[in-house]
Amino acid sequence: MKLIELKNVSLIYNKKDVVLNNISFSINEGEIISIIGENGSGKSTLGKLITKLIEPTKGELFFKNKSYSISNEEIRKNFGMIFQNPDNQFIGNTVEDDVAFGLENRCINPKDMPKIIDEKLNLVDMINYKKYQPNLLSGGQKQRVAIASNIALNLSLLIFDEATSMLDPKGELEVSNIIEKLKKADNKMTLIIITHNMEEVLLTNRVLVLKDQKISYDGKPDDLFKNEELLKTLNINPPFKYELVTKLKKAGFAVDFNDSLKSIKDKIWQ
Amino acid sequence: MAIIINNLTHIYNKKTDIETSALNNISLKLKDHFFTAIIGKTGSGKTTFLQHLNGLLIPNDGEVILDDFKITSNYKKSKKNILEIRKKVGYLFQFSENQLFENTVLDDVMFAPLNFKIEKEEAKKLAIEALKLVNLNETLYEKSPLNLSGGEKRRAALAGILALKPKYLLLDEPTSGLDVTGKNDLIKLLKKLYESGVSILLVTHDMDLVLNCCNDVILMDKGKVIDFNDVYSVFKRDDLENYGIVRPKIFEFCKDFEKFIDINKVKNIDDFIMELKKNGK
Repeated sequence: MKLIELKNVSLIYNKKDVVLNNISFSINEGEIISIIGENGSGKSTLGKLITKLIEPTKGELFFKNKSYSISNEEIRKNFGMIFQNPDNQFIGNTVEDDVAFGLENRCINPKDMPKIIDEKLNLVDMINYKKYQPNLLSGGQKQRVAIASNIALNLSLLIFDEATSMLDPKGELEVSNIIEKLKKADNKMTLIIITHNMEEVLLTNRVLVLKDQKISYDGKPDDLFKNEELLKTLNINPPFKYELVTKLKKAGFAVDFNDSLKSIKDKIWQ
Repeated sequence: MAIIINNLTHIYNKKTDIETSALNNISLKLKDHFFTAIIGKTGSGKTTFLQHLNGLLIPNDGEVILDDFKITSNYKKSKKNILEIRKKVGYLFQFSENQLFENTVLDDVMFAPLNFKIEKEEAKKLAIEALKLVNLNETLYEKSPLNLSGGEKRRAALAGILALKPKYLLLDEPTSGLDVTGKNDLIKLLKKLYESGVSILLVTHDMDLVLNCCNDVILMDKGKVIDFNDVYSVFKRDDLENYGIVRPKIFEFCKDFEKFIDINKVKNIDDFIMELKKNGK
């Protein structure tokens, strides 16, 4: 079933600066999708349009086949966003307070809260930090708490807006691992990952590439990263393994995109 | 003439409930001409350390020697002192696009030379030279900095610093948030600046950038320098994960070929294949 649909959506600032031009696509429930594109291509704007933090200049958006507006309470209840800066979204005095904040806003019975908080902090491997204050946490840990706070609300859609770009490499890995876990969870939450990091694109089943205010590619990451010509046109550097295989093949090594890094090594040794 | 740090200590909010020790008795000497990265976890003291090198922060204890300047806890932040240091040491903030504030790109880049009482015509000449150096198209000079792309904004901010022809360049997370083009352009520019004689010290989480550009690495943790060595020696450490560092994928991949190729020459995939070919593969 379609969770979100955008029909002929445009966003134009000051009547002349076109940010998005006549975009149409839909996202099904439970899909894991990434959005990539150059700086200024409209990736984050698209995320804000979907969550209705801003309204389109033209076109219409649908949630479960119903048109939705900025004041739609159902959207606020169903959509969450993890922002770039981990310090900008920590509200509580402690980790558990932070997760409790959203639950209190939803008027969840206080008796039920500890169970929900523990369950979600367990999922993001932050249960041992329950009583910690935010200043004692790393960037990656803060982002994991933000994820726990969002998923505690039983959302239909969670958007990661360059959520790892300010983290150290270890923090980046931690968040990627949590995304892997969410993919396997039973609740079928739809995930949109807006990113510059091509390794994160490999966590998703579908990628949208924004270029020149339009969607220039909508398909499987694997098909995109194998297509050298297309990558050049879209100005994308592929993830490490794809770049390695492409270049090794050109240099005459009998390697394949389906090979693991270990088998690529073995083939080089041969 | 060099940058020497002796027993540098910095404590935030000293003698308050939230007192935090950010730098703890750091001593090191940078090479005469360096391209060095500072790496470590978020909160390890990297940016605090960097900000001591152009007088943005003053040590609580110890000293920072910048050629013929010495900054100690007694250092007086007089305008004359600061201007002399800022002229010698340029500082690009993280998300430096936020430091653009003039109406046009050209005015923004001219701001620093004018602030140094350089005549308007000369300031314009210096600004245009710097804008050319960072490869910003002439059609953008009269545009508002707000209309530039992310990569262009960062290069415009860098031009504002380069207009003063600094000897040392300090950069805080210079590639963070940049797309492929923005990042590649910046890397080319930094290499060009280094080759022209500018010494570069950068704080980064981008380990590909470190491998690709830098000669040395300062590894920090909890306000201390854990290691200060060449890039390869630091990346070979067994305990890197404890310091929030994940090695670049190409480094990790070609470690198994160490006995067969010279991995010290591998900065990217192209270098790796070249080394394989050189050794008969």
